[in-house]
Amino acid sequence: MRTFRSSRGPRLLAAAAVASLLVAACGGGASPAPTTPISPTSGPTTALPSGEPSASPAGGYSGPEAKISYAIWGDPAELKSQQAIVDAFKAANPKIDVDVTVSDWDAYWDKLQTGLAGGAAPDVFAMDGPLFPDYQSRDVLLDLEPMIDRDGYDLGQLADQGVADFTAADGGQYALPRDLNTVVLYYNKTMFDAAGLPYPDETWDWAKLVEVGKKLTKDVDGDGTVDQWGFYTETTDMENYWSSLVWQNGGDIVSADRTKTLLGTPEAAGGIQFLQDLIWKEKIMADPALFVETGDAFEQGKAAMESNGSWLVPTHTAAAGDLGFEFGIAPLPKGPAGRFTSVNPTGAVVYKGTKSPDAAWEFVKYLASPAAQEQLMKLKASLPVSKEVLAGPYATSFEGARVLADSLAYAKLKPSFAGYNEFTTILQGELDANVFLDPKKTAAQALADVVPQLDAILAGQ
Amino acid sequence: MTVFRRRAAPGPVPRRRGGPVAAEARWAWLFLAPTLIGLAILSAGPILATFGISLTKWDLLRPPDWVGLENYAALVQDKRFLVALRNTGFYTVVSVPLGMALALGLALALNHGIRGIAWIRTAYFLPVVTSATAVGLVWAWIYAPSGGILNQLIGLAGLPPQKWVSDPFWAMPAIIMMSVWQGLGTSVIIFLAGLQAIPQEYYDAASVDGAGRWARFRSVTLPLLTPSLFFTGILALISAFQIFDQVYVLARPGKPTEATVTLVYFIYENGFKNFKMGYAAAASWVLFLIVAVLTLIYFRSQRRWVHYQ
Amino acid sequence: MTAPSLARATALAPFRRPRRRRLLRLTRRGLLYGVLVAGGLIMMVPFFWMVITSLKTRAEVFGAAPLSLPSGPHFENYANMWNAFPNDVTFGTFFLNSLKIAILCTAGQLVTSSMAAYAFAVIPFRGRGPLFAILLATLIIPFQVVLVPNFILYRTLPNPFSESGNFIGTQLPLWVGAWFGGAFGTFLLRQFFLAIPQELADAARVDGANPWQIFTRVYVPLARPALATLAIFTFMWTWNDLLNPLIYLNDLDQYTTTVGLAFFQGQHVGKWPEMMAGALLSLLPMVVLFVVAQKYFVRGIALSGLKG
Repeated sequence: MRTFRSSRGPRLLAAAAVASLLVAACGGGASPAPTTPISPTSGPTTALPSGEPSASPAGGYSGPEAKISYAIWGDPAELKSQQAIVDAFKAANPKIDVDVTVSDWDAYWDKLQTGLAGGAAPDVFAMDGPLFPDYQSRDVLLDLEPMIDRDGYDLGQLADQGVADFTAADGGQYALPRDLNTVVLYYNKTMFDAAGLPYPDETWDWAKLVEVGKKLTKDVDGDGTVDQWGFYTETTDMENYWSSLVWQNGGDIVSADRTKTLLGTPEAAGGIQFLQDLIWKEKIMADPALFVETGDAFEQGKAAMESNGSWLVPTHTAAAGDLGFEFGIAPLPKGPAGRFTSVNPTGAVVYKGTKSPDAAWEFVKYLASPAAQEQLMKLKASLPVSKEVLAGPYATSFEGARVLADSLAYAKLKPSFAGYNEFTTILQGELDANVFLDPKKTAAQALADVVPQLDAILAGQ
Repeated sequence: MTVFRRRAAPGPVPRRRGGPVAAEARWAWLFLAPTLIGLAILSAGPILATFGISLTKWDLLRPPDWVGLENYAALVQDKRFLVALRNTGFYTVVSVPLGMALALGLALALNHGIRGIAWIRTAYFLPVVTSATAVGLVWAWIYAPSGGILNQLIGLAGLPPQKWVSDPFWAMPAIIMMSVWQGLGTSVIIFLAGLQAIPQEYYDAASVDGAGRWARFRSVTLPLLTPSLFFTGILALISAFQIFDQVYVLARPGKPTEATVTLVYFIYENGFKNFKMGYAAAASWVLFLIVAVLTLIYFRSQRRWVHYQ
Repeated sequence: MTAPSLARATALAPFRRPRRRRLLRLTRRGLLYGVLVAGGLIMMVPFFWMVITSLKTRAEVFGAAPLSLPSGPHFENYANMWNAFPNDVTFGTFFLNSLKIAILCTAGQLVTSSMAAYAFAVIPFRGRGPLFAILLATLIIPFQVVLVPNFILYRTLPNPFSESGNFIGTQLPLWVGAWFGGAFGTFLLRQFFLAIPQELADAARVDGANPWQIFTRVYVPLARPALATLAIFTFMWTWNDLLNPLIYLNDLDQYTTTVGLAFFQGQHVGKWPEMMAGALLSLLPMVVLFVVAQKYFVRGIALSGLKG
């Protein structure tokens, strides 16, 4: 029944890739411990099997035998990768048995909510950043702060945005991030070479994007219609481009306290207007309706540049190989107010009603540990959350990885607040119908029309 | 043409006789035992529970909060709900008669004993079992704004290309066409089975009386097919009101837009995306009321046009 | 209209000459055939698309037109899809699970729905009408709202044999319900039972048969087309069910084909070739069932003993 998945899914692949590269980098048993100190536990530590690459406190579990269930969304490649992580964890912690359950993205939430409603929720499950407040505010997640303090776990070893996204207003920490995704500019090197144009770099701004985009928008087969566009992005979710545009123009999406929306400001409207103009005024991007059904124009070799997420690296690599082009990764062009991009973490949360909180916490820690992150890194689809890995092995793991790693420095968190789904349904409905698919209204008009409803949703939470 | 006797549609139990019927009535409960248990525990029970839920505010994660009829009051004022109602109504009014007429025609055609008919029938059945994703993808390609078959065809007739699914005006008709096409197979099967249940003797008797093909159709086939028509009609009505999968698969981008939001999608999105299960339950009971009333009217009408033997 | 009766009918038409009559018949037949085949081919387009997509490489899927033929048959897509899952689970595992559940559901529905339909159609008893109405009413509520109460129900019912102590995490919720009647099946069979002439039942009653014997010896044989129809539908709906297996199953080795296939849509631009390979394999049992069940559509009903 649920068939199509949003663009967030493949992030997992990325995370898996990242982590697995980490494992490879760490190598044999004598690796220097990452900044996590060995946790002082109350009982004797179980001896680590030899050859364990990580010195993370995975062996610190001293509780009773436990069985925990771990639910994720993903596709077969991610599933295999997560299963490998789970197997490694079980080897390091013989007393804890972990069962992985996987669903596709759309159905994952249905299953999770049904389970939570019926009191049969998994012990550990994956949580998407924007949806976190909805779950945390409804008191179904376990606050990990006591265990963090007890074990002296250093949250500073993990990417700041990743940790912040799962910190509640009252200061409690409800998840450890598991992987991150940011948005960057992909470009088709072959097309650029053919046109004799220099590749995008960090000097680019909006004007430059338009200028180069125009040069790369052409009618290749001479039939009178444009079939190669300079630029492509998805318009159906803010993450792919337009949230970054809003920030680059000096605006924001919701207020800091998440009680009202800031989309009614001229700055926010200006950002979205830029995207509408790319499609309908500068015409360097195709009418979104043309690619909505067929998929990513960049992967089809029909667009020279694309703003999209790091989760697409594996599929872009495959497509480039199939179609015979090379691609590169550059930072998003800067806007009038500076350089910004979007970052969205996926975290591992613990169900409040779990029967084995200590075992679950042990597993959550493991997921963020270098060992697991190296396994994830192998899939090349998301950024690792461990700062050391980001700066070290990940940055050199594939071409363009450094750009991704560096993008965290100027990345803002994807907006996350209670009522997120309802909010974005109304917002995207308006933007898609009247701004992107059909320029019936300017961005400012459309936003003005919809801001009262959005404020009502935020107020009602 | 009075070879068959029309039996009154089953109504309230009459009966002048005593013993044997009462004994038989006891048998009824035996036959019904599994169904009754199922009704009580597995279906009617949970369904009544959803009515209870509709009187609460429930986000699935915390215990429900009693709010009485507040959800129903809010529904009436919810613009998206009214749009969903309108879209679903439009879908039903167009797709049900269209689907049934086409299916009937097809069934009549497929009822012949031509060689290879079994394989042809299988071809018509394939869309029903073809994965929804595949069907959605093929239709997405048919409806593709640039290079799609439909636009190419109408281009030949000199008409400008349309956006179809992405166009507010054409989105629902586009979905209707895909649904009707896919649903044909199921109705055809039921009609085929119904056609097979018509005894050959009646056709022979009609021929003996000198009836031509159209006359035979009108006086033998159609009347004796009415039980199947009645059945398919009700199911088509109910399932049209519950249309969800096709919208989910085809209606892009991202989420159904205003033009394609249907009642069940509204219910699903409120229950599972917006943490408003109480509201969703209320919407589904409004749906229930509408369909129940329509079904009741339909059932009453069967006395007038459905022939049982 | 079958060939013999058509022949008889035209044979009786008084004013047509033999040769033109045959020509007319042949042309009509030919036209019908032509239209049916053309229509059938149109119907098969998505299926055909599935077949060729499953044999293409990913590049070909996006690079070339949708209905273009693959460069060479890439059967490795089937192998990739079969072996895509960890822990010794293959697509075959999913296939067998789906098969088992679908067969159990179909059997359950055939038995219990026909029994209920018989009661509603043939046996007069007080409360028959309202009870049938209630049964029918259960069809109207969309399952999205009943999903959670059902889940809670299965979680509450004790099950000593399962890990969780209840029915969650087992395959039981997927087929046990089918053995407790069903509104669709009951409605369908009731319609068919109603269309069976009362004389047959009366005759059997006069012969001293009890209701169960009338049911099994008179009604069930005559309702074969309807039973075949119900079998097809039940099998198909169970086989294609995605949400229920997803909600109730936790272990990968218990998953059905629908859930397994859903994973291939996980990528933003899916692995179409592998997915279509899986979808095609999934399709086969239903097509086989349909071809076999068609015999029950074609077999006419011989009403022996009917006295005009």
